[in-house]
Amino acid sequence: MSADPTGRTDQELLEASGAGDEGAFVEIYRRHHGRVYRFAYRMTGSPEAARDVTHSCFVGLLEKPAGYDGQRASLGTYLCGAARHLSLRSASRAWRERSLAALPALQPAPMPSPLESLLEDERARVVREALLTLAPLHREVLILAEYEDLTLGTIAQVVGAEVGAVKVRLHRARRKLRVALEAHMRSGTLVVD
Amino acid sequence: MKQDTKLDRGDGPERDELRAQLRRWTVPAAPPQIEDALRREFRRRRSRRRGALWVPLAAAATLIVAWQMRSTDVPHRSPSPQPPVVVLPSPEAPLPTAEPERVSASTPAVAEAGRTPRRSTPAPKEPEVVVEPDQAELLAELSRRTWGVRQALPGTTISAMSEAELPQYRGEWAAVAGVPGMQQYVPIGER
Repeated sequence: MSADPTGRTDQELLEASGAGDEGAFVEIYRRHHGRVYRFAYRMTGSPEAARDVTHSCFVGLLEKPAGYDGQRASLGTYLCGAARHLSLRSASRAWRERSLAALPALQPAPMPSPLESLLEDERARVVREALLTLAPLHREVLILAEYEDLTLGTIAQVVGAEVGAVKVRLHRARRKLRVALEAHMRSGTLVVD
Repeated sequence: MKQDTKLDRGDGPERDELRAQLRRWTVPAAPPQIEDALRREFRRRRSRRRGALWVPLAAAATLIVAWQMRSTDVPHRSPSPQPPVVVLPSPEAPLPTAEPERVSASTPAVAEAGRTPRRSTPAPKEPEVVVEPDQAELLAELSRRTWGVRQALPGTTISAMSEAELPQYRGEWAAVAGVPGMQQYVPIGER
């Protein structure tokens, strides 16, 4: 993720963006927005909140480009950390309230048949609800490890913790998620492919 | 550190099963409205930043133009103008021979005249007083008489001579000046 079709690195794109190059800024967005949006979506469980978080992340990059230090982490890690900070606000509030009934409806993914679509939507809903029952500190490391395939070191940079602490959180998060999903696995709602 | 770059994939079927369940929750792509909104935000900030850059430039240009206009209005003014020289007669001057020209900066013409370069004018010579030997002796006598008498302040008038002293004064003056018909001067030592 360090070079675009024009051969410019993230740092070069950031400098060009600071000099007023709109194309460079859009290239930065297109390069990193997917992970930021997905992470915010899974942390908050809301597409609206994910949209706001993603927008705020890149606006923050416009406001304070000097806040990013290329010597410490990659731009993707920095943006993921910003998304985590913004997502934790709403995720922590929602987790404290434990109001799953107020969760927004899932956006159905395109599926081959209406029945399969319904089944997949139901399975996704169960996974999402089980994931959202986790504490934010456990949820974020699970999302970054299982969905975004980040290394332990990168996760530690994103969440601002030691690698050992990340491993402990990840272990506990998996155990709690398994407990939350066991009931659905036994009832047959969730089947292993 | 080695573990920093390692994926925590986990081992065993339990973790693989859990991972497969998690993958069921897919997230749709980000809506394109985000990119459009960010483009608008970028353009808004860029135009505002360019506007902010023009403010100091315009201020500097205005100052330069104002400075040039001022220097055009006063072309002959030297960097450190000398104040006009005003010569006033001293009140102690006994007999001013001529009224010195008073220069004032109230009118432009006079102010312009006052800006003429200064010339090193020598101090006016006081009129030479020639004193005859007898007169000098009389003046010395006069000074002895008035010694210890409180003198009047400079510029004040001398008190009038009394009528009783007048004949003696005229006699002495006639002796000094040699006026015909008057008493001739007799040196003090021969009196």
